[in-house]
Amino acid sequence: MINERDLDQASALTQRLLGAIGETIVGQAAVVESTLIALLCGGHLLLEGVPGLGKTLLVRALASALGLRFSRIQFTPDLMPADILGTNVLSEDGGQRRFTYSPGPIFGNVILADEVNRATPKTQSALLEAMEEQTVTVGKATYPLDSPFIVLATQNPIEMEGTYPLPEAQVDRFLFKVGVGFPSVEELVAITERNTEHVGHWLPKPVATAEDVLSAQSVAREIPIARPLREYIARLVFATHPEHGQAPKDIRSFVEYGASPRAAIALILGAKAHALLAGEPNVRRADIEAVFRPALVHRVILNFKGEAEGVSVSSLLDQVWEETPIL
Amino acid sequence: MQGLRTAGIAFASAAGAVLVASGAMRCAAVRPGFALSAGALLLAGVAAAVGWGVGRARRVSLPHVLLSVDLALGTGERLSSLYELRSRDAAPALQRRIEEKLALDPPVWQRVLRPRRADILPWGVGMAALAAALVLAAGGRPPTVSPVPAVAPAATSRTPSASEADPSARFGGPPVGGVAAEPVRPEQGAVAEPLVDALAELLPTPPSRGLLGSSDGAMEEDRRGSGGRGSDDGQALSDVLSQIMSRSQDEAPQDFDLTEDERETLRDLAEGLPDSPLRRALLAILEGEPGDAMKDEIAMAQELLGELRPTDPGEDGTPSGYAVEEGNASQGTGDPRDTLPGEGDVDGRPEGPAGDDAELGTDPAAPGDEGRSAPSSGEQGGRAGRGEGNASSSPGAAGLVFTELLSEWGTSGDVWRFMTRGLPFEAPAAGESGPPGALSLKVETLRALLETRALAPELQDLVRAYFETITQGEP
Repeated sequence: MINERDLDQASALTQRLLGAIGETIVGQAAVVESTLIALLCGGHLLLEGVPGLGKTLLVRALASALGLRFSRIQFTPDLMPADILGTNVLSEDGGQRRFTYSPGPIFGNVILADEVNRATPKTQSALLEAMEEQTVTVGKATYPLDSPFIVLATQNPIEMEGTYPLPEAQVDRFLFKVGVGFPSVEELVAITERNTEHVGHWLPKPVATAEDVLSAQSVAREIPIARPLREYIARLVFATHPEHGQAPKDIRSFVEYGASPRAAIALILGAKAHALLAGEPNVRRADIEAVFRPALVHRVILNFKGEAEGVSVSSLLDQVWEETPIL
Repeated sequence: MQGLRTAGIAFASAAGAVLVASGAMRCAAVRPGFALSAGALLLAGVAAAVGWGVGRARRVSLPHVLLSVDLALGTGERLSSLYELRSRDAAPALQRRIEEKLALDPPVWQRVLRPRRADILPWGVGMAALAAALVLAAGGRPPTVSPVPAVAPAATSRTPSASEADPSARFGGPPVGGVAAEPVRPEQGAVAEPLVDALAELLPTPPSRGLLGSSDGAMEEDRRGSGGRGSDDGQALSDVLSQIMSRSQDEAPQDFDLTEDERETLRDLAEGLPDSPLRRALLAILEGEPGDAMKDEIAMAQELLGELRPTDPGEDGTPSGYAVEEGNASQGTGDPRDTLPGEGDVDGRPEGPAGDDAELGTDPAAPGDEGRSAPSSGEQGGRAGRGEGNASSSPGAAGLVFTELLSEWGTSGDVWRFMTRGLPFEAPAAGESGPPGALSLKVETLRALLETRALAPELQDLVRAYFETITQGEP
């Protein structure tokens, strides 16, 4: 059971992290916030944006501020699962030869899966067990991953040639999908200043430990949410299903599959973490709204008609939000 | 609030049902009345009460109520979250943190207690529907029917007590004596009451105006035409007709005709009247052939004019009328009861026909104002109003006199087709032909009167039964 001290530490941690990351990353407040929420929820984040927007820098800054072990995996078409998970290698110890497990880059606290959609589905699926179970099975042995563990995957939405879009099952394992937008003029000016007048960019110093993060995760889960709000979240998720009676008209027309129950879990956890981040002791409707779109945008699958007409999932979610009553 | 809203919905539903029912009843020409109004209010009230009970009895989800309160107060869902924690007895630190937040920004509870539009709207709709239903019901209410004064029953007893014999004792009028007027016998009144009610339902005008009284719109227009402009025109017309009729007695029937002055006067007076039987009768006089036919037309015009005498009280409180102006009418007391037929001063009874062997009937010859001023029985209201009774023993006397008709009825035709036992009528006016005490009843006049009212045959039977009933058991 959490106490006042845990609450204060969690609040302080979030503020320190925001400050530390803000020293490295210019702008992108929503992305930073979503990253921290994913961290507090113990979830994983899918970042989508064109190259050069600072996605990798963000992940590195987060890992540096947390003082956690950072791993980067550059996904390519020839990347093999063993290149991620590790493999058994023949080793010699005291005149005896034996296979010993050599952990892959997945063994870290903060994992950057860069351009994850460039790897083959076989390699992509290697992430499934690690992301969901936080374990790695090689041969007959299963190895636990360190805590905290967060995967931040990036993908380029414009270079689709030779890519392998992530399967729905794998996309569903990401807590949020966040689009990384282009910075504003002022932000771009600040970015150029930082990168042209000093020797490269600098990473923040650690402001937290792994234990601090785990404690904050526990506090986030304790943030209360009223039962009617849980019911509200359930109605929101159901409203994304075209076969549901209260789904908006466009959902029935353009959606093939609605959000999974994992989306409801992501909504609740995300709302709790958002409340903690905002210094609130309970979940509010505003917290739900803040995480509604990043939690559901990658979980609503358009049908052929929707794809053909270029329907935006975000606009469909806007309808769901507007037309679903809270009571 | 839930009970309030449910009660409002129930109330609005009931009021809507009442409105639909009122509309249906109005379309079906069903006569609404107090029962409907009271029933509508009762139904709406009961529905609201039941709705309130149902709303109160429904299980209230406290978390949902608290969340709605949170949303109304803008408390950041703290109340419902605090309830969530306390119901699980979890995270005291968070509970305290929430309480601190609530204390820092105390909610304004009045914002929650204020009924929302959804709570009030059903009540407004229900009240509007109920008001519309009541207005609809009131709009369909038939004309108020005044009770029929017991004219004939008063003439059924022949041995009255002293106080009963004097109608003035009942009505506060001056004492009268030597009159065979009788009080109303309760049992006879009770017998007649259903018939009165039936007549009130059937007749387009109250029976108090007389079964032979004016009832249609034309007669009303006549009344307004002659009485509304004051009594001058009516008086002038009455004078002219009386003058012509008097002159006709002195001339040979075949030579009788109107003078130019008389024609001009009648034409002026007729043109001042709306289209009505009286106007048509006057025009018939002007356009008719000289001789007996013209005399008959004049007599009919007098009859019609007699029915249209004004009943408004004069400035001194006395009913204004021709008899008053002629000085023959009694000075009315101004008591509205004076206008009731058959309740006037019985001093004005005719001398001739009255006697110990008097039969049922009234004394219309008396120039009393009561019988005249009340639009009661046609014949009585007509001739008595003119005050031309040939037996005016004292001025201003009018009332019921039981007499036996001595003479033959009418001059031709079946008079009993139009007359019945117990029907009040008046004695012949002065100057009318016939021996003393004889009544000059003309079938044509009676027929014209009945035709004017366009009384259905079954109603004629009902009227006949009415008068026969009030003479029940009496000679």
